[in-house]
Amino acid sequence: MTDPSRLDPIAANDWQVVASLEELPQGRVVHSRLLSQPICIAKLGEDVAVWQDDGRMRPNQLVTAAQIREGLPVILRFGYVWTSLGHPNHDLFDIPECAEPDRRQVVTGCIRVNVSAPRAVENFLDMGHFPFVHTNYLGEEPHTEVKPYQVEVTRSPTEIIATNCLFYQPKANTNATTGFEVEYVYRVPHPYCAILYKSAPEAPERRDVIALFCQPIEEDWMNAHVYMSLIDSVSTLAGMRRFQQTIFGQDRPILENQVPKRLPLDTRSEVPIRADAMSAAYRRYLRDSGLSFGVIPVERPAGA
Amino acid sequence: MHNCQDEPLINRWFPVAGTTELPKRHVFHGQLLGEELALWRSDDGTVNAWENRCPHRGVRLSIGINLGSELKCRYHGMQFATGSGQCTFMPAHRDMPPARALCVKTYSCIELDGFIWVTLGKAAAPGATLFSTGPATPLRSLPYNVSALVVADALTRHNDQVIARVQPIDAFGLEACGPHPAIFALQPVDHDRCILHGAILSAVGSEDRVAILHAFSDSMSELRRAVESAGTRLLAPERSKSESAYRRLIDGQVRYGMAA
Amino acid sequence: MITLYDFELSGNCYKLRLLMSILGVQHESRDVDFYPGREHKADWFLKINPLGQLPVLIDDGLVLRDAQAILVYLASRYDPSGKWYPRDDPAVLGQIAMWLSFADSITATASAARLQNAMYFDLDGDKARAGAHGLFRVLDEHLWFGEQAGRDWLCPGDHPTVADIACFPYVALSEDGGISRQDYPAIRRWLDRVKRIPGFIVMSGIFPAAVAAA
Repeated sequence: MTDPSRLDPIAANDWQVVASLEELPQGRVVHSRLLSQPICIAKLGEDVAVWQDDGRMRPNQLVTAAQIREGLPVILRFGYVWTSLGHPNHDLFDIPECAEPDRRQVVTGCIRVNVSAPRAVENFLDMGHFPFVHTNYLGEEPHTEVKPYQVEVTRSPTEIIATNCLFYQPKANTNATTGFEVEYVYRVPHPYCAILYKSAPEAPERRDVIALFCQPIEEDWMNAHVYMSLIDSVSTLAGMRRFQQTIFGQDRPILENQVPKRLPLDTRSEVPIRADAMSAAYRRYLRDSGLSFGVIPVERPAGA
Repeated sequence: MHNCQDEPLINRWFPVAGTTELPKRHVFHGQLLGEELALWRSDDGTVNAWENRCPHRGVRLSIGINLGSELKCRYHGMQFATGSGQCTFMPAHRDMPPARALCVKTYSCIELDGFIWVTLGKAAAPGATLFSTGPATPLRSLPYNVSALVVADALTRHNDQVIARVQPIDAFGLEACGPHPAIFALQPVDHDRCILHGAILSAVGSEDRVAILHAFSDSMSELRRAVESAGTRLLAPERSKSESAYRRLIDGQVRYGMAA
Repeated sequence: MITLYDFELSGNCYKLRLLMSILGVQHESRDVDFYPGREHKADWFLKINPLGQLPVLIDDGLVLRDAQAILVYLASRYDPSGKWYPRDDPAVLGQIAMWLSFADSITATASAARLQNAMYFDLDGDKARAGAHGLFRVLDEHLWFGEQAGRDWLCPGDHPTVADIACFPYVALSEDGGISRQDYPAIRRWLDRVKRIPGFIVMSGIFPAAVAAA
C-alpha cells in the first residue's frame, strides 16, 4: 500500500478524475494510474468502485462489489469518475450549466499525453497559439493579435476566471461556415482542470461548455479527458467528437515537445508576454497552493 | 587510451552534421553531450546552432519553421533572428517590440571541411579539423545506440575490406586504412548514444562515389549491429533522463560515458 | 461523388484525403466514430467492410478497403499525368509495390505504437516502437542515398508516387507513439519535401513545412 507521506499532499487530498463512465466496461477491472500510484476502477451497475491496485486483479478481469476491500472515495459528476488518494475537505467543483436537460453531453475519449497536467491546462487557457496550431479552425494569420482581457481570482473557493477574451476564428465549431470574433470565458476551478465557456451558435444568449479534466498519471504523463456540454440539435456524435479530437490532436505534438515537461513555477526560466496574463495567474495560483506534482517548484533547482 | 578525465568536453568542438544535411528552409534536430540543438541554415548560408527550446514556453525549435532569416516557433509564431537568436516579432502583439529577454540561447558553430561543428562552451573556433588533412569526401553519418567511447573502442577492432587497421587519434577521432583511407569523428549525443561521422581523405571520382559510400555505410552498419547487440560492456552509461543528467554532465559533475 | 468512410485522426484515412486533394478530386467524408465509439466494429460498418477497418472508399458502386489499394485506384483513375502510378514502367511499379508493403509495416509498428501510447489500445508498445526504429533506419538510408543520386522521392523519377503518400502519414506522426525522428535526418528532409507537394493538406497532428526558398 502507498505510504501517504510520499504523496504530494495537495494533489493527494483533492478530487482527481480517473475515467469517464461511458468508457468503462461493465463489471470488469480497469487498471490505471494516479499520482504515480497504480489504481483499479470497476463499473458495477450504476456505481463505480476505485481502489489501490495491490496486484490481486488483472486488467479486464470480471469483478463484483464483494471482492473489493478498501475502496477510495468516489464522486460521479459530469459523466466522469473522480476519486482521491487522501481525504478531501471540500466538494468537487460544479458546472451548473451541464445539468440543463437540452444539452448534448459529449465524452470525447481519453487521450494519454507525455507531458504534465499543468502544461496541458496552460495550453487550454492560451489563445495566442490558435492561428499557428489550430490554423483555419480557431485562428488564422494575420488575425493573431491577443487583445487585453480581464483576469480575476475568486476566493472560497479559489478559482481563476478570465473574461472578455476575444479572438477571430475562421471555424469556431463543428457547424460554423464563416469566421467571426468569438468571446470566451475561461475558468480554472482545480489545479488540473480548465473550463471554457463560449456563446452557443444555436442559442447565443447561452453558453457552450468545453472542459479539460487532466488525470495526473505521472509527473510527466497525463490523461486528457475532454468533456463538452453543448446546445446542438444538428451534429452527430461522431461529428462533434471529430471537431474536438482534431483540435486536441493539433495540441498534442506541441505539448509533447515542451521542455521541461513539468511546468516551471519560477519567473525566470520562461519569458511571458502580455497575452500570458491567464498563464501568469495560473502559475501564481499553483505556487500559492503548494502543489508539487507536475510542476518544478521555485525552491527546488530544476532537474534535481 | 580513452582518457576522458583530462578533456574538458564542454569546450571541445564536435561535428554535429554533414554540410549537406542542412538544406535551406529546414531545421535539423541535433544533440551534443545531452544538450538538444536546433540547427538551421539561413538563406545567406550561415549556420545557426541553437538550444532546442523557445524561451517563451519551452517548445522545441526543431519543429519550428525556417523562414530564411528567422526561425519561427511552432507554438505562438514568435520569430527569432539568425545569428543573435533575438525575438524580432510576436504575433500576439504585432506592434510591440519584443523584450530583450526573449532570446534563444545560441552556441558557437562553424562549417568546415564538409561538416558543421559545434561547441557547448567558449573555446575559439579551430582553424582546422580532423578532416583538414585532405580533400574530404564525407561519408553517411550513422547514429548508434551506444556510448561514443564504446564505438571508438569497437572501431579499433573492426577489420573488413573497407575499414581496417583503425588507430585512435584522440578519444573521439580515429583513422582507418583500407582501399580508401578515412578519418572518423565521433559525436557524443548523450551517455548511451553517439553519431559516427567520417570522410574519405581523397576526392573520389563520381562514377565510384556512390558505390564507395555504400561500402562504407554497409561496413559501419555491420559494426553497429555488433556493438548494439553486444551491449555496453566497456563502460556502463546510465540511461538518460530528459531533465536531469545532462546538466550535471555539462556542469562537470560527471564524466562522459560513466554511470551517472 | 466519392464517399470516404473517414476518421480525422486515422493516418490511413488521411492518405486518401491527401491524394484526393493533390489530384483535385472531390469527395464526401462519412465520419465513423473509431475512438472511443469503436464504430468500425459496429454491425452496420461490418456490412461495408467485414474486416472492420478504416478507410473504405466507394466510387461509382466500387467498394474498396485498404489505404494502399485505394491509393492505387485513385492514382490510376484520376491522375491524367500518369506519374503517381506509372503503369507503363514495370520497374517503378515493382518498387512502388515494395514501398506500399513497407507502408503496411509502418502501420503495424508506428501506428500501433501511437494507438497504444495515446489511446491505450491493447498492443505491445515497446515492440512496436523497436520495430518502427528498425524500419526508419532502412528508410533513412534509402532516402539518404536517393539524395546522393539527386532523387527527392522513394522511387526513381522526378515525381512523387503513391509510395510516398503511403509511407508519409505514420512516419510524420511517429512521435505520437514515442518514436523520435532525431536519428533520421534524411527522413526529416523527405517529410518537408512531401509537405511542399502542390495540393498538400495537413491532418491533426501534422504541421505544414516552411515555404521553399525562392
